[in-house]
Order: sequence, then C-alpha cells, then structure tokens
Amino acid sequence: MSQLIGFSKPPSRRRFLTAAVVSGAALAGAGLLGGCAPSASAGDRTRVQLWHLFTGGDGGVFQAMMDTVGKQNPQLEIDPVVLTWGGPYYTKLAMSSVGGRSPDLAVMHATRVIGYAPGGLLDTWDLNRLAEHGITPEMFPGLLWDKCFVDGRLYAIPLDFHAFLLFYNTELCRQAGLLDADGTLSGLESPEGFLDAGRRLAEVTGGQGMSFGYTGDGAQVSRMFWGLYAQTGAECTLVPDQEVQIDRDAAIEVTSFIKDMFDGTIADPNMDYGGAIGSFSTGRTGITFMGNWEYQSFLAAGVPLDAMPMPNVFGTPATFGDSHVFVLPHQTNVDESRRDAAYEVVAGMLNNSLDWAAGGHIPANTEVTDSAAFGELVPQSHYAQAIEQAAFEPASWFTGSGSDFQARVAEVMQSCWLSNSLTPEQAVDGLIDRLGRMLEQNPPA
Amino acid sequence: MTVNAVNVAASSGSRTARRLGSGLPFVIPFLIVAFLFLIAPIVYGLWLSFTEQSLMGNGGWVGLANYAEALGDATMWATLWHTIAFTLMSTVPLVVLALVMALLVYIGIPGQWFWRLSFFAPYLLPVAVVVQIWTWLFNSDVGFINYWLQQIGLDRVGWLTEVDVAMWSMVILTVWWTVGFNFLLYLSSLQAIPDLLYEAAEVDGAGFWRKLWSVTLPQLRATTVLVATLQVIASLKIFDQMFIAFNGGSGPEGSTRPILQYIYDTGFTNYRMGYASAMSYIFFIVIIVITVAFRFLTRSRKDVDNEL
Repeated sequence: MSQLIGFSKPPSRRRFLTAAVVSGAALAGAGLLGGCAPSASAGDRTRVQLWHLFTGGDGGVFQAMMDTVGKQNPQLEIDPVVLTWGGPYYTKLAMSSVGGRSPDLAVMHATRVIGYAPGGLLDTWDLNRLAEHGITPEMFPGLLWDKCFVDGRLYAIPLDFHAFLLFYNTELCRQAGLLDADGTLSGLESPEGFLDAGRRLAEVTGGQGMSFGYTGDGAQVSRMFWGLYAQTGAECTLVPDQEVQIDRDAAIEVTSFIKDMFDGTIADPNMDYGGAIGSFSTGRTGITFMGNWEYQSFLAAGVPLDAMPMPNVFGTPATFGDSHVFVLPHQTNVDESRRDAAYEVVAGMLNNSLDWAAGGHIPANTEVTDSAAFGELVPQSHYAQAIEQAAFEPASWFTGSGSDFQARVAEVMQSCWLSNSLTPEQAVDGLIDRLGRMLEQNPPA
Repeated sequence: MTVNAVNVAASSGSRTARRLGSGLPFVIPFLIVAFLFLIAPIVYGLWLSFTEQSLMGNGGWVGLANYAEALGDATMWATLWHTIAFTLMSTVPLVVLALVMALLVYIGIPGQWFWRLSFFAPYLLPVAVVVQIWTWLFNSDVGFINYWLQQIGLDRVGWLTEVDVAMWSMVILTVWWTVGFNFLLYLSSLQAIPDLLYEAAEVDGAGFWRKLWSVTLPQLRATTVLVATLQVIASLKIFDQMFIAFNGGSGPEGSTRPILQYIYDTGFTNYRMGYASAMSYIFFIVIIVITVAFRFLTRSRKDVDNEL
C-alpha cells in the first residue's frame, strides 16, 4: 500500500535525527551569513527593511514598484512591512526609533517630519551620498524639497505630492454649462463664481452640486480650510511658546465661504467621507474635493471624470496636500552596507515613480513629471501643476497628516458649518485658542 | 532512638514551612505574570503620571502638574461626559431589551431556536465588522436606513453626521451587537426559576402580570444586578466603536469622542505619556466611584426588600 502511494520504508530514527541536525545547522549558518556579512559572496543580497502605510490600490502599486526596483537591483532585497495609516503608524515608528532598532527605511508624511527630527527619531540624509546614487536637489520642485529640511539639515526625500483635488463629472458639468470650449471646468475662480457653479450643478443633479466628506473627518476639514486659507495669500506661523501668527480676517473669510457652501443645495450639511465618494460615484453630485488617491475608486465607479487642482477662489493659486517622503529612522548601530542599500532603494523608487502616478499621485521627481509618458496620463497631467502651488498644513510638532490636531480643528469648524452654534468669528477664535494651547505645551521631542 | 526523635520533632516543626515551600512553585508563575503585566505597569503608569515623559523620552518630574492640567482641561471633562452619557444611554436599553427578549423567548413564542440564534449571533461578530455594517446602514446619502425612511415619507437623518444623533447611533449599534449576551444570562436564569413558584401562584389565582411582577422579576433580581454592573463597566470602557466609525476622529463637532480615546490620542498621537497617564488615573478613580456607588445602590435596595 505504502509502495503504491510512493513511500518506501519510513526513515530510521537515526537518519531522521541526522537530517534534522544537518538542516538546522544549515539554516543557522545561512542566518549568520545573512545577518552579519551580507556581501560575503555574490549570491548574497542586502536586506532593506522598509515600513510604509500604503494599503488598497496604493499598496498594490507600491508593491509593484518595489518588485521592479528589486529586479533592477538583484543585490537588494526589499523587505516591506505595511502598517495602518494615521496615528497608529506614527506611534509604531516613533517607538521603534526610540528603541534604536528601527527599520532601515520608512515612508512618512512631510508634515510629520518636523515633529520627528528634533527628537532624534530620524537620521539625516547625506547630500554627497545621495548624489552618488543619482539623487540631486534639482530633481525636485523647490517647495517640496525645502519642506524636507529641519534646522538646515535634510531629513526626508520626497516621493510624491498628494493633492486635495477637484474631481468633476464631465457629463454633469457640461449639462450645467460649466465647461469651456476645450472641455475643462472654469468659472470657479471667485467665491461668487464657485457658489454659482454649485447651484447650477445642483439643478442638473436634482440634489446637491458638490460633495466632500467633512463630518467626523478632521483630515478633510483641514484640507479644505488650510487650502483655501493659503489662497488668500495669508500665512500661519506656529512657534512654541509664542502667540499664534494667523491672519484672523482671512481665516474668517474662508470659514464663512465654506459655511455658505453647506446650504443644502450647493453641498449637503451632513456628509461624511464615504457619503461624499458615494454621491459623486453615483452622479448625485457633479464635483467632489478629494485626495488624488481616490482617483482609482472613481475610475472603478465608471463616472466620466476629469480632475484639476483646487480652483483659485481667493486670488493666490494654492492646492492643499502633503508629500510622502522617505526617511531614515534612527538606528543606534548603523550597518553601512544596509544604509547604502537604503539609498539605492530610494533612488530606484524615484526613477520608477511614473508607476506611482498611475495611483493618482504626482511624482516628486520632475524628470518623471516632465516626461512625455507622464504627459499622456489623463487626468494626472491635468493636475500636475498642483505640485508648484503646494500648500501644507501650518508646520508644528502637533500638526500634519494623521495628527489628533486635525480632529480638534474639525470640531470647532463643524460647530460653525453644521449646527450654526458658532459664528465664523467665534469658530476662528476657537481655532486660534486651540492652536495657542498646543503651542503652550512642551513639544514631546 | 534519640536521633529519630529529633528527626520527628524537626519534621513536625517545619511542616507548615514545607507546605508553603511545596505550594510556592505553583504560585510563582502566576506571581511573575501578575507582577510583570499588572502590578509593574500600574506602578509605572502612576510614576509616569507625575512626569513629563513623552513617547520619545525627555521626561522630567512635574509633580501634580499633569493632574492640575487635567482638571482644568475642558476637553477631558467633555470626553468624560461623553463616556458617562453613553453609559447611561446604553445600559438601560441593554438591560431592559435583554430582559424583554428573554421573556419573549421563555414565554414560548414559536421558533425558539431561531430567536435564540438571531438574538445572540451579532455578539459573535468582531467589532470592526459590526461598525462597518452599521456605517453603511447609517450612511446619510446612500444608506439603507435613510432609504427606507424616505420611502415612507420621512426626512433623511444624518446618523453619523448630526451632533444630536451620532451618539444615539453608537448606542443603537452597541445594543444590536451586545444585547445577545445579556439576553443569554437572563434566559438561563429564567429557566432556573422553579416551576413550583408559578404553580403556587396559580393556586392563589395569580394571572400573567401578577406572576411576572411577583415571581419572575424578583427571582431575576440577582441577575439584573449582575447584568447591570457588568454593563456599566463595559459601557464606561467604550472606545472601539467610535474609533472605527469615525476613522479615529472625534465625530461631528467632537460629540462622540469618549475619554479613553482622548487618553489614547494624547498618549499615542501627541506622545504625551505623562499627561495621558494622569488622565487614566483620574478615569480609573471615576470608574471605581461609579462601580462602588452602583453596588451600594443595588445592595441597599436588596437589603430593604429582605427586611419586608
């Protein structure tokens, strides 16, 4: 019977033990080689552990890029760890860096670097070494590159700019008469024009004109508010232990403008993130403000769409966004060959970031965005100029993507926009108060 | 002979010591685990609450400053109130509904197995699944509930987006999810009531309502105290539902953020471990006070009843 299914004699106990010991020793030996002497022989590869926060469609694209880089650099082995976006990711990254046994390379948001660098959680990038791997400052738009420096030292290498875009349903906008001769959306470049466009769209849809999810979603509120605030040309500077420097009048103007949007016709005063995507995907609204990462979900929904940067409502072109950057989490004992491999991985990812554009992101590498291949990508090439008008959240240790502060901004703004319990003036004063109280606190780093 | 006597005396004298010695090895694993994962963290957390420790180190002794800050922190009081409001709003339906459901099944509506299954099944689902299901149902624009509200001519409700409604939505979700456990506790203690009592009541001419008020409910008192106490403690620890439903945000106008989430946000998002620890200890005291007060209330009522 055992012969029939391919077994000969069961192995004797001695043979079994010998085999176990030999294979165990082989495994241990391989582990030693892999851990201590990565370049001992030509067959060995340097392992780079890379933490990132891309899931869903983005995650697939990022994995494909890592595979490409791995194929182009056979001496590298990228070992990715995917973690959930937001607070939990930054907690884990901070804790691993404090312990000094952090990954070789990590992805984070440019706006969070300022909270990390002063605490010694990040190691700096060496410009000369970057140049050896073909990465030079000229490759990046100035706005983005400057964002990567803290106290004059380079802590981050930008991969992309991910923008808060205006997606529009070309069919509905055409019916509302909002498209000009070459088929692009126009006429939204003033508060009146913007609100009027919303009303005209609402007539076409029979519901609302526009949607973006802002209830219970601090990130969406912050994106819209700080994006439009930057369009007024005003700035907001946050220095610990000092007064908040903010243009109160501009902030009030923006707050009341957004409040005007939520009149039930232009936009629904109750709309969360999922609802905003749902109503745009089903043609109930003709315009939505969303991060470019949602491009794929709209595409899957099959709505005829195009996209553009945030319309210039208040006079200064500005599109809110953040940038995914590569950082070197602090390590107590740096393995130089692995660190060099990390540089190599970053160079590879930047060179292959045309693929990243497929996910909707605008690559930070201008050699990619200037290429003919990128120009053929629609709608990506229609909003690529957003990178030159990038507006970030005001920089401080407590602000940025995935921060708790975004939720606190949303609370006070929603009190004005949703329940009318605060006037725009009171909401802005509440915002200034919250900013002030955070500035009084000791930065954790 | 003398040698033996000495041996006997020595062994009887050290009997208690030996018994202790032989028991100790069995207790040590528990002691180690309890020390490492319970006592040490509690003491460490208490120490943290007197420092400025952040997740990145950098902590100095600040004495009671964290506690002083917490007592003057409007957000802490607001989130503490959200937690207590949720506890009040959820405990009552979770106890009353469970009782009603158990009575219905016990009285014998047809298809008992079906009701038992459908009342208890949601309890088996993980919280992430429950919240995902309900955020779809609650969606103000494309959600199932609002669709039917509109079909019968009512206005749409912003289940997760209106300040006055969002907390109730969390209560509805939580009741749907967890009422099955209380239902089971009630059902089993209903089945434990001796038939004798009902027979005696019937002989005395008691009808359905009289039996319910004078036999069933008094017999269930111990279960009610147990269910309510467990429920108060569980509701005070509310965190997951809000955190998932609002993507880690704080709900419309911050109206649903419970204190545990504020502690989490402070400690793990803003890295202020010292301050978060201080708030944890304040909340710990609040839980103890509420639980003791609750026990006192229910116990004293029982004593009064016993005297009658």
